[in-house]
Order: sequence, then structure tokens, then C-alpha cells
Amino acid sequence: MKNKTNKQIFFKAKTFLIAASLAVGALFSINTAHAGADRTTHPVVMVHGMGGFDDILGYHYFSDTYGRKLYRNCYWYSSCNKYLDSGQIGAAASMSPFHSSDHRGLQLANAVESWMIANDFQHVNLVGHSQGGMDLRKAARILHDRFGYQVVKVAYSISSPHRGSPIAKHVLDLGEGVSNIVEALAETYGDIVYGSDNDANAALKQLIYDDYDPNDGTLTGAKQFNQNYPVSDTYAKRYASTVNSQQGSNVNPALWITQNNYFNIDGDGWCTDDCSGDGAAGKGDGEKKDTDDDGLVGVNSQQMGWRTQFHYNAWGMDYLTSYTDTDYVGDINYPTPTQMTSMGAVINQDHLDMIGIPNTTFRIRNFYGAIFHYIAHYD
Amino acid sequence: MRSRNLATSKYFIISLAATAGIAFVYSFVSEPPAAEAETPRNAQHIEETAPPAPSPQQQPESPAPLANLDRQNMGEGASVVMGDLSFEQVVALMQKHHGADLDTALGQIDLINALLSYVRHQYPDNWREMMTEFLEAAFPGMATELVQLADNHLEYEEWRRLGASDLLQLDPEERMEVLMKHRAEIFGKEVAEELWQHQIRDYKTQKAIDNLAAESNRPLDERLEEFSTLVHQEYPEDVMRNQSMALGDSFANKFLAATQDELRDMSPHERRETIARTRRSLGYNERAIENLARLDRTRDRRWEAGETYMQTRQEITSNYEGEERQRRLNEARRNLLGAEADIIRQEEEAGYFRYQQERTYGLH
Repeated sequence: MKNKTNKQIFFKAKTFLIAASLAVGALFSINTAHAGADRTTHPVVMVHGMGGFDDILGYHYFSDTYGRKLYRNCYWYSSCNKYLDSGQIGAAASMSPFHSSDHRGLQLANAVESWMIANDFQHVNLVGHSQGGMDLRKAARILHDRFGYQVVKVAYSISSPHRGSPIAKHVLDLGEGVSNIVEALAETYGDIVYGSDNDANAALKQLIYDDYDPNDGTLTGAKQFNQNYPVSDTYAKRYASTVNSQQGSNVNPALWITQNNYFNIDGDGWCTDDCSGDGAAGKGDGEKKDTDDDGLVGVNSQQMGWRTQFHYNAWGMDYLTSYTDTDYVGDINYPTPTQMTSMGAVINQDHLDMIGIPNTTFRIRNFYGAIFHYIAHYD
Repeated sequence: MRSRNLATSKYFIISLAATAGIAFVYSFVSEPPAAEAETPRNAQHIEETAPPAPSPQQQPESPAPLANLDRQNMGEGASVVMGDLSFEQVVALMQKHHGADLDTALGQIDLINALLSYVRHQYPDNWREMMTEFLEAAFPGMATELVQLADNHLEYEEWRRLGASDLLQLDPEERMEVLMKHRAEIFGKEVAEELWQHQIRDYKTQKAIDNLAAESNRPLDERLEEFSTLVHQEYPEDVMRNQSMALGDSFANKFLAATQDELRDMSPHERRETIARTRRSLGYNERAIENLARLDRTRDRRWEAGETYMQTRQEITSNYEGEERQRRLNEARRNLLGAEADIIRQEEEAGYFRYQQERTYGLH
């Protein structure tokens, strides 16, 4: 009798455990749906701007204040962004901290080529901050030429000086507050500027719209680079960007040249090419101390493809959508007056806030979740 | 027998319903793992470390406050809550989005940051008081602890803001030392080390690479083994298994970049073997290793062609001028450089010669 009872208990316990494991399975399958970004069809590569990949003001590029990577999912990694899908593949490329986009774009193409071949990827999405947004256009063209098809699906830039930055010219000209180019860069970026793989002059010439020295036998500058590496559906399926600006005490002290009033960009006026000679296409509206730049780049230099609009979503993930009022910037050197002057959908953050460098109130993990979600909609 | 089968089936169904019910309720009171997890998870790990059910004070009072949220579809997959939220709705959202994560310092600081962002925006004149009120209402059992953490966070923010320029001028080692010293003073050593655990680990790894790269008097394989042991100890299995999916963060890429001088001095065969060993030892799978070895050989051929082109270019520029020079250069590029001939021409016009740059083996 006792034996039979034991058997029954064992049988019931076994039945319960099977049922429980099924239900627990269901539980975790319910939980795999999450309120973060949709998963992109193709993997995403982040492209850093000037400064080091490992050390931008003491932080890893594309990490939050606590060093958590903004592009990694939390299923595989502990250092991650909780807003990304559990199967999201994301990585960050590392290039020379200070160099021309010709050099960095080639390095990026090589790194992405290795990554694709190692993992059998057919396509990628590229997200570049600052100069990284220019580098990725070159990489997209090289990858097209190497693979023989359009490799890049979405090319997305954040705060990129596509049409130059007056700060670069101010530093190269040894303007007020600048006595040495490399030391000037070190003021903003720290010791990393002294690394052996850097060419600070080439980096700065890249960020000036026109050819800085027409008599040196070379064609440098953003304008020429844009002609060589255009916005083109041959090289990427969709181009989009964020435009941002900030003024006053909110601007990161590391952007010393703005903070100390040595130079303030007037970056919200339109004209063809660099009519004002300040180093960036377009001109100002006569008022420097308004919210028309992010400390390093004017509003009129930043739009590539579609401008995206940021939607704050209290307590949930924020979102980005295409801002159609300024239309599409397909000719990167010649945007319309509206595209260069509109403050529509401009995000109120400085150049370094956009990669999570403190102090910032910007919800940076949320923002990168929004970028991945936007890409997922188009890739 | 038939009645026993029937009883078993009945018991099975009741058990299934009961556990499914628990699962269903649990799914409402817990956060999705992908959205909230802070530790790596695989199937086994999920079973071993399934998050504990939230304590009573962390559970949503009721889903009712969230039933009337005004959600607006913004297009392109964006759905945003519009309009002002009631006090009860904010409390319910705090519990819903952060309640399950408050057992770690990072989970707590995420709540504090989200709340600060909200109250600074909504209550610019009395955000500090409102922050305390929300914390007390949402997590009464932990409010004191959370308010203290928020105060520490604000103190740290202010110190960081005032000291940013000075910190910038320190070398990485000094900067990390100063940062951790002040973090420990403000948050306490244990909390500070938990909050910045990822930054500390990355810093430690980079420092190890820099030190190992500098010890070129020791055999490369010995240093590789040392580094491999370190990263396998520091990083969870999952990170190591996915190394081929890392790029700038890949330990193999970092090690290869740091030991280029030694790779350059090796014979091609020895170099290939060393690169493969590095990748294998630092988490690349066999398929990725094979694929990359094939790419390395393609790149060897690219560089050989590039070097031939640079010699040809030198001859052409020494012997020809004007249109003839350009015609011959175009022809050389087309013959030797293939699909990238035109890009390389444009690079040269910009003063950039890719085949004059130093090659980084295993990377470019």
C-alpha cells in the first residue's frame, strides 16, 4: 500500500514537473517579446568620430555613463543596452582617432569587410557620430565596389559635419585661443591626440568645406569628399541623420573653444557653398549666440538624407521618425535653404551628449534604442 | 486503467493550468528579460538565474492607472504616450519599467536617471521634492535607500561637471584613479565598483593588452596565453563565444593591433599561424577563423598588387608628364587595382596613398 502511494506521489510529481516546465517555457516565451527596439534585419556597426574608440574623455565611445555598451543586446552581453532586441547584432568599429575620412573610411571598410566575411553577413547598417558619419559614406562605396552590390542598407549620421565645421578652420588658422593645432585638439580630446597613428592636420582639413590650401597640389575638404562619396542609392538603401544644437551652460566644458567664447559658430544661414569663408557651407544669420550649433558643428552642416525627429516617450523607449518638412538631402553639397536653416526636429543636445559623455540629461540608451528601431523599419 | 489514465490527464491539465496561471501572472508583474536584463543569459542561465518575483512593495498596485494612457502612433513603428501623466500613472510606470530591476545598483541608478529626466522636465521648480514623493509612493520599502542614491548621483554629477576640464588633461591611469577615488567617496566603494563594473573591466583589459604589448622580450605565445586566461576569467562565457561578432571590441583584434611590430617581423607562414592561433585562443569559432584566413590571403594579394602599382606609379611620374602621365596612371590602376581603381585615383588627388600606409596584419 505504502509502495503504491509512493508510486502515485512520484507519478503525480513527475506529471506536475512536466506541466510546470511547459508552463515555465511558456512564461519565458511570453517574456521574450519586449517593449524596446525592433530587431534590424541586418547587423549594425557604430562608427566613432574624432577621438579614441577606447577613450573619449575617459569613456568608451558609444557607451553610457557607466560604461555599458549602447550597441549590444543584453541576452549575450552584460555590458549592454536594455532597449535592444535579444537577438540584435551590433558592434563598433575602431579607426584612427585623428585622420582624414579618406584614411578612416578605408579602415572602416576593411573592418566591416572582415566582420562580414567572418560571420557570413551579406549586408550591414552603419551609424556614424561626427566625422564617423562622413567616413561611413566612403566605406559604403568601397564595400559596394568590393562585393559588387549595395552592401549598406541604412546609413545614419549623428551630429556630422557633412558640409564642414568653422571650428576646424579656426584651429587650423590658429585663431583666437589657439597657439598650437595638436594642443588645441588635446584641449578637447585629451592625450589621445598624441598617438602615433594620427594626422591632426589631415583630420582638420577634412572638416573644412573648401580645399584648405588650393596651392599644395592636393584636393582636400568636405566638398571634394562629398563629390567622391555622395549620398547615392548605389551605395546605401537609405540615408538619415539627426541634427542637434545647444547653447550656453549646457554645452560640455570639454568643447572649450565654444565655452570660453574664443569662437562661436553661426550655423543656421543658407548660401551656395562657403560664401562666408568660415569653413562650412552656408553662412550665419548674424546671431552667433543662438542655438544654431552643437559646440562643434552648425545646424546647416548636419543633415544627410532624411532628417529624423526625436519623440520623447516618458518611461518608455523614445523614437525617431523621418521629418518630412525639410525633405530629403540627396545632394550633400547643395541642400535647399530650408534644409540648412530649419530648426525643425533639431535635438537640443551638444556634440558630446549624443554619445553619452557626461554631464548629460539625455537618455542615451533610450536614444540608441530609437536609432536601432528606426533602422529596423528600413533595412 | 482507463480511469487511471483519465485521472492522470485530469491532474496534468490542472497542473498545467495552475503553473500556466502562475506564469501568466508572473509575466505581468515582471519585465521582459531582453528589455531589462543586465546579465548575459543563455537558456541554461535563464533557468538558473530567473529573476525573483518582485517583493510586495515592488508590485504594480494595479494595471488600472495605465489603462487610459493616450498612446499616439507617430508612424514608422513609433508609438508615444501623449499628454500629462497623473501621479498614479507615473508611479505605475515606475513600478512597471523598473520594479523588477531594483536588486542591483545599476537597476536602481537607471530608475533614478529616468525619474530625474522626468521630474526635471515636468516639475522644473520643485523637481527634487517630486522625485522623493514619487520614490516614496512607488517603492515605499526602498525609498530611503533610493533617495540617498539619488542624492549621491546628483553630488557626483556636480563634481563631474566642475572637474571635467581638469580630468581631461590627466593620462588614462591617473584619470581612472581620480574617478574611482571620488566615486568611492560619494557612493561608497562597493556601490561605486558595482555601478562602474563594466568600465573597470574594460579598463583592466586594455591595460593588460598595453602591458603585454610592451613586453616584446617575452614569447608572443606566452603573452597570448596570459591574455586569453585573463579575458576568459573576466568575461562570461557568452561574450567569449560571440567574439567573432565583436569588431573594435574583439579581444583578438585588440591583441593583433597591439603586436603588429612582431607580426611584421615574422615569415608569412609563421604570421598566418600566429594570427589563427590568436583568433582561436580569443574566442573565434573555426568557421570565422577559416573565413578570415581566406580574406587575409586576398589582402596579401591586394597589397602585392598595391606595391607593384606604387613602383609602376613611381616610374610613370618620373618619365611622363601631363595627359600622357594621367593616361598611363589610369591604365596602371585599372590593370593592377581592379574595382577600386577609381577610388584610389580620388584618394591620390586628395594626397592620400593607401599603399604607403603601414599594413596592419590580420586587420586591414
